[in-house]
Amino acid sequence: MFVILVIDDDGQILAYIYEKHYKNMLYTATRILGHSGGEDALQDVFVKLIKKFSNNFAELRDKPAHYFVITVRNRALDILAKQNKEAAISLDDENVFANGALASEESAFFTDDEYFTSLIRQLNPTTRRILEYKFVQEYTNKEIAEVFGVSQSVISSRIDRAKRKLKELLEDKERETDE
Amino acid sequence: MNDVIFEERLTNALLRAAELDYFPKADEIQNATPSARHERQIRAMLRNPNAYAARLRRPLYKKILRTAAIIIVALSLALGAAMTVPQVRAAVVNFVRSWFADHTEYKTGTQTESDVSGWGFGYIPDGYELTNERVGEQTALYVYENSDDLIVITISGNTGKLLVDNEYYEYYTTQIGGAAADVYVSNEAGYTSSVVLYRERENVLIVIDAELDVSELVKIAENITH
Repeated sequence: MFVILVIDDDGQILAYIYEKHYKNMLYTATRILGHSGGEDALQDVFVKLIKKFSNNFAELRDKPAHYFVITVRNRALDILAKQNKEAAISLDDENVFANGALASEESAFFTDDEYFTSLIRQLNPTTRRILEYKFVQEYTNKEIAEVFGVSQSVISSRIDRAKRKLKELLEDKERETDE
Repeated sequence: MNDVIFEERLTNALLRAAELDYFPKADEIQNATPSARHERQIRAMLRNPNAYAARLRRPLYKKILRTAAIIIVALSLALGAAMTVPQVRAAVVNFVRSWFADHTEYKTGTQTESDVSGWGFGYIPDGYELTNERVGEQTALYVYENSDDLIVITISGNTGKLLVDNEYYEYYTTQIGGAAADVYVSNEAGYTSSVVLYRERENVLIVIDAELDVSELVKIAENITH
């Protein structure tokens, strides 16, 4: 028997979270995996979130909507890669940025935050996902390595390289702005 | 820029970029509704909480949270397809009980103050001890535990509603100690049965949920004091 007491404190938080985010999450997962696979991914993500935040649902409640979309998107992409038997990280992903070069001619008109966002959008997709796992979903390097089926050192190296490059570009931009 | 500040900015930039690249538009999510299959999957997960708990091997307080976790998925069922099922409303004095195909919804009256504090339990089967007690403004939770099982008693006031799975249970309506009551009897070994009791004077719904014989649940309900 399950009994649902909606006004229970934890229940209110979880109900709020689910009702607020499930449509965005379902749509996002469905676009990648189709309706059936998308629903499975959504369920899977919520089970994982419940386990991860079982001591503090309030912390989960305070996450921004993008957190939930990123989380389900990454899970859906993991499932898709497994279905297609794709290598999680290919040698083609070595470059930090997708095209190796940045479309930066308009960067002078960007605020620093806008510029940083534009850099993220130009990242190699795999690198971007690794950074999302690390800094948005707060996975450890070990957990990320398990997701991608590679060693921790590969993940650590990707993160360090991306951070170094992003920081360098951001500081260059800030110096230019100051001048 | 130190690393902490940089990482904070990086997190924010990742979120902003996700909004631009991944986040669905409002009109795109209009038809994002779970299928019947998805609902069945969710319910299957919910019907197997023992396996779930065994896998996690959590302490008691986390088992309770697990029960709360059920809410998030069950609510979607309640707010989704299930709401299209014709409902029969049975107003009993001051509360509303609505029967759906797979669950029952209870609401207390909103015209009367509820009193969820000061409740006592004159009968609890031998071997169980009170291990968790939480009394809030509109909800109280009492958990009794022995070496194997739990008795969970919840008392809810008039700010919310209560949803009870009825799909895999035999159930009947009765009176216990002069109060309207519904008894849900599990059809499967290993699953709990429940008594839902409406106490009109205090305007509260009391749920007793445990893997016990129904006669024991009724006895607990008969000996609740306020």
